[in-house]
Amino acid sequence: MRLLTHNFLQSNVKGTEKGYPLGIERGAELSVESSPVNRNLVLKMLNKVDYSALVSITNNLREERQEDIPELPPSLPETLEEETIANYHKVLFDVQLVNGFLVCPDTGRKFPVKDGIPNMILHEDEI
Amino acid sequence: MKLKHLESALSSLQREFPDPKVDLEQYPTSAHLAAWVALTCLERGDIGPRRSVLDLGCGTGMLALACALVETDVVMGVDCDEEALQVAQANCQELFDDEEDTDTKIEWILAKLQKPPVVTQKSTKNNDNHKQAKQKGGGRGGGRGRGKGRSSQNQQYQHAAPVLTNPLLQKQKQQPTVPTDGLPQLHSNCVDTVVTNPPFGTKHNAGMDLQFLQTAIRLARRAVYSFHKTSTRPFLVKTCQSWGLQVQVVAEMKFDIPQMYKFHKQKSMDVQVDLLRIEIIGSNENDTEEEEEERAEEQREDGQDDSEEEAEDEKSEGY
Repeated sequence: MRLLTHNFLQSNVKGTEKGYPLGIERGAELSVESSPVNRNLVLKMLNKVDYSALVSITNNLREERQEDIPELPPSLPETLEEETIANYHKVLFDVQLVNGFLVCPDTGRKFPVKDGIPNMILHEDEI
Repeated sequence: MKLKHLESALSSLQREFPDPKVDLEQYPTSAHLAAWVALTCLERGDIGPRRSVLDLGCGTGMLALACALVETDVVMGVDCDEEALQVAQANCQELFDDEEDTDTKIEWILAKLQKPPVVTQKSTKNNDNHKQAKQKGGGRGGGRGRGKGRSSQNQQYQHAAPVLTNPLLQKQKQQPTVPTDGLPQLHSNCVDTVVTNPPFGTKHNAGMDLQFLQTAIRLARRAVYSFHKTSTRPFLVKTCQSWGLQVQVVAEMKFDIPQMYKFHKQKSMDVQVDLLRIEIIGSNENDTEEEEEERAEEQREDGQDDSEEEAEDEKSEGY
């Protein structure tokens, strides 16, 4: 599961007010690839994502994997250097959550991620 | 890419469900159908390079992977059957052995649409309930009210979202709030195009087809492609028009529903099905003119004529 997808997901468990952004529990198994930078895709997606959620999850993950995950500017710069675009590409598309848990910020409900697939299905009594 | 190439790439994949579940109306999608739908969407610029697409109810991923094969930038497959998604993931690995085989970003998400709140015989009743809900000041109305409420009071709150709200109203909200429709965990507008082959809303699934459609419309910025029984066309067209959306019947076809479940009495059955395309209002805002020109350029190079011819064949052949 890429951080792009993380940016679109939210919790809707009973008792949730906003359920966004989801946390990623410490100790999660990540994989960091290096795919060729798709500049157009990065520019397009930067307009679609919730920027502050992207930065905050990136900072959280950097606490454990500082060497693999680039730091992002706290707010979207007006002009983008190629290097910054490459960093956005890395964060949005190359950092993948393989196994671990997404955590609802309101209720603490954990959504398991197994082999890269997040399980967002709620039990009957959580709806 | 030509239809036969696409079809042949898809034909090696496992399209059958490992454990078909009757309540989900799971039927395998043929390589031919998936390939044809992908080319139809590509031809209209709804998928392909510089587009993102979500397959709602992707099953073993046939439609999603067809979209990936035509070089769509981002492909998301959503289904509530974990085993089916595992097959989809395996299919994906078979198609794209190395990461280098594709630039497409493919994501699988296990999530479930809630069942529609009201199960009535006449669809118009939903409208009435909706109005009542509004009069009560929103919040909890619109649900089972006077109906055959089987659920507890608590559940009623959650299921109370009226089915027939205009999905575009939710699009206008900028901040993520918990949407009240079927798939609350995904943000509105998160992809350009949604393709969906939903349950047709038979058996215990009454209203599921509409629930899928509504969710698809909420998630898409540009267009929705959805399969529906031809018999429901007048109702769906009317419903979409009441939301201010244009509907186009892209193709009429016959689905051959094989004998898969115990309740099937016949060996197989042909069902008349429409492929609808719903245009999302204001969808072109996202594209700069430059982008559009580039796309047009690419399409000319691709020599995309053959898919049109094939489309004609399709209608007469059926499935």
